[in-house]
Amino acid sequence: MNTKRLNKLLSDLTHKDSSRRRSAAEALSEGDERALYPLIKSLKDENLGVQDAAIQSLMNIKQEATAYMLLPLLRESSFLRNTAMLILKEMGKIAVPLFRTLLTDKDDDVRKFVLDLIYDIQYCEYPDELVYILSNDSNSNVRASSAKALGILQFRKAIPQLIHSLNDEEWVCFSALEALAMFNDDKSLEHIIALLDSPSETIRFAVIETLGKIRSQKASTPLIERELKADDFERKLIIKSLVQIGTISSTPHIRETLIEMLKEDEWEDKYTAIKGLSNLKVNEAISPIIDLAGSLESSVPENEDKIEFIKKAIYSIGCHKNLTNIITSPSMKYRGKTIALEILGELQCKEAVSVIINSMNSDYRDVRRASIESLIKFESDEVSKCLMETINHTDSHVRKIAIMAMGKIGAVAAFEPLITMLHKEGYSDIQEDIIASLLKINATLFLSRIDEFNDDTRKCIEHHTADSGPGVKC
Amino acid sequence: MLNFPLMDDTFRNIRDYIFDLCGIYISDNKKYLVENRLAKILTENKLNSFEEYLKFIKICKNGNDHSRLIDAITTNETYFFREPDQLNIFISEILPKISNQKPEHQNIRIWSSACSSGEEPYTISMMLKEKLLDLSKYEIYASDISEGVLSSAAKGVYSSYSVRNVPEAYLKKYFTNNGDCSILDSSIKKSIIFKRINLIDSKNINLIRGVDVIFCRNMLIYFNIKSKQKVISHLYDCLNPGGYLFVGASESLHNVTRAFRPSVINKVIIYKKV
Amino acid sequence: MKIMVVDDCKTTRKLLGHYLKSRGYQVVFAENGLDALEKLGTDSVNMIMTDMNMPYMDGMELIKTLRSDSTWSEIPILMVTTENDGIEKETALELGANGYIVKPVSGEVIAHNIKLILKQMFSKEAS
Repeated sequence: MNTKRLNKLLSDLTHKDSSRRRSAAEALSEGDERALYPLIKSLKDENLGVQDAAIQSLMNIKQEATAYMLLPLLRESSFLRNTAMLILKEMGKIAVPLFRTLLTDKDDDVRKFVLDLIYDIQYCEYPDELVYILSNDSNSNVRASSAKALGILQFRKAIPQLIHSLNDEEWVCFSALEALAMFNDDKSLEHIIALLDSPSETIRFAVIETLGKIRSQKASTPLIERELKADDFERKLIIKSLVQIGTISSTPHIRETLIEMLKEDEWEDKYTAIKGLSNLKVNEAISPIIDLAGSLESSVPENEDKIEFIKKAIYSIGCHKNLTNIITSPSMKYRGKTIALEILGELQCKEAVSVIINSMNSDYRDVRRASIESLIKFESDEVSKCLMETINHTDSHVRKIAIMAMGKIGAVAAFEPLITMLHKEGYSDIQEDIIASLLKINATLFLSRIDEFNDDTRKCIEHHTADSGPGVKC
Repeated sequence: MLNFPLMDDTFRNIRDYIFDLCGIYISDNKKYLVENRLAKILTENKLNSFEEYLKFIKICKNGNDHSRLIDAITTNETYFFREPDQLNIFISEILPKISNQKPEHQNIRIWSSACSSGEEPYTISMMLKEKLLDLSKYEIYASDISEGVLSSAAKGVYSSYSVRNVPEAYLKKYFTNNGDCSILDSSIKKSIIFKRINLIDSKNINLIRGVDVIFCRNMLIYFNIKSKQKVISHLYDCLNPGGYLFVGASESLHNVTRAFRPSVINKVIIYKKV
Repeated sequence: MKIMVVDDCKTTRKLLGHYLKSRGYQVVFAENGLDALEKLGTDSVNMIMTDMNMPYMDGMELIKTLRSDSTWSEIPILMVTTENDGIEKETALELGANGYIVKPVSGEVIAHNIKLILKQMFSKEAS
């Protein structure tokens, strides 16, 4: 950035109009170290928009000088401290070498802050020093932060000290467990398992979760033994961990617990329950799982992952009458039925065909649509016959899919009905599908009858037959 | 369904292309989304692999193909009167506040910034009309990155799915039923000013300024944090001081910016430019 | 009774969540002050336990914002932070926090402080 422009922007940073100050702060993201101090001052601007712009710009000036100038803010008021941490985190690896000297700062909070930053940035060139802190720092918050950081850094040399920290205060022990969970290391297992008998409930909970994350089969037996003496809360945690390890057994009370877990608020718990139920192939769980999927608004993009996960779980359970029964269940809402229909099609559950055919006349458009899309995945005479009868369906979307299916299977019997339809079909996209299907069924015969149609339709047919490139619309 | 898979490298290349095109970032775990959504495009264009599609989209000069790509990735079915609680609070609480602050001669500007096929801005227009508000005092802008959906929006023809949440009284008054479709009344269609805007593009976004209320609902979820911050920063600059931003009920700005203050009215979260 | 735990550190949220759930409290979580404000609007809680150091909106700013809003001016707020600075504690209490405890903290200490704050609230209401 040239000096003239820079000076203009620096001047605007103190303009009385906040929108000018904000624009200047935004523009200074292209600046260099000359912009740093003024931007840091702008963090204290009275206007939130200016503060925000200064934060973003400082994040953009990814230089060691920026990190250097932000470090003193770690001793300032809480807002400046937290903002500096936000920016330093964003700066990433470039800032980490500067943290080293602060690891021995006399202020406990400063030491903790830099360890938290190392955790957030997930990078450190001097991890041995963190191990030293874990064993020697006088402040337990600092020791806890160093445990966490060592875990995320995956510094294996730290494992013995982390194991030793399991005997530290609860706060540190908790962080050490979290760290050990990241190593997936069998060596620490016996020490962790020993804590299943800890008098501290919180530690026991943390141990159970850690064993689930480590996923070692060796943890199964102690967990199963513990489950027998556990209260409800602890039992649920144990079952979750056993699901993650993959050694859950299909006893009635475990199946019931997992089905109950579907009602938990946290999706992490629901995912675990679904995973457990699908691994155990619990047929009675099909309906509540589909109901759960049906409760999700499919037009919300973040629900797509959840619905996809649920579908995969049901695929692995496979065809079962409980899945088919969903289609006719009065209590299942239409979204659930739609998902069930999709799955029945993917799995090609032959015993469901007649039910799917019936549901093409559902009052719900999504159900009708899902029915026909499911049907076209089956290859049978019964289905072909049904699809042929559906080409005149009142629902245009259903009609469209049936017409496309006729072309795909080359249904000769559909030729004349399609010709008749082409004369009267009102929707242009469906007209195109009719033309495409007729060409697939018998192009020669179809083209020989081209004069039966009006000009517009003829032009459309000609477009389809000419080599005029992709995506031509009539 | 296609007979060929989407390879990881190709997925990353397509992902990067989409990001460069419009700022939308598709995370690794959403590879299936790209596979499913692009399948139809590949079939229609008679392409035999995703690699072919990548070559095709990179060399095409046809804006329609870019639009189709964006549509395929971002379009989820939307509908009229989506998230009605927000809309009701907008009409009953936010508009009066803005009206009181606004000088008599100045219009109130509302912007539906990710309008897709138009359901949101048309809903707003109908609600304003039902409130017997003088529509000439309001400017309703509607924008989207895709030319395709904008031209569809301008036509004002909707499927039964789109109108399923429309109250009966509105249906009778503002729509004409034509078998499978519902056609919007021309007075409502005319009340919207449509523009093609890419929210990531800082030059593009200058097309609209001095806005009082922005709706940006169920759009931010397509962006990574950096892009979200950029979009929100742009929207902030478009708003008048004291202006309001509505995001989707499942969306949040709490780890994106501190420039807006959340304000909660009857369990509806609205962000205010303070 | 429902308590909101506001802390940007996932480990801490988990730990405090365990302490509270095992004592029969319902818990909701928020990552920072802004997240807390959003969730408060849609989820009714009886008490807030907040950290001080969080990005975007820290604990002090959260307390200040809540106390200036008539809807939240009376909600009990317990600050749970690593900051062992007398001045920070004084500031938090002046801004309107009902209690201030320094991490690391045990479940018993948290439970004790919650009961203390609730007792104070009831006495205040009674008088």
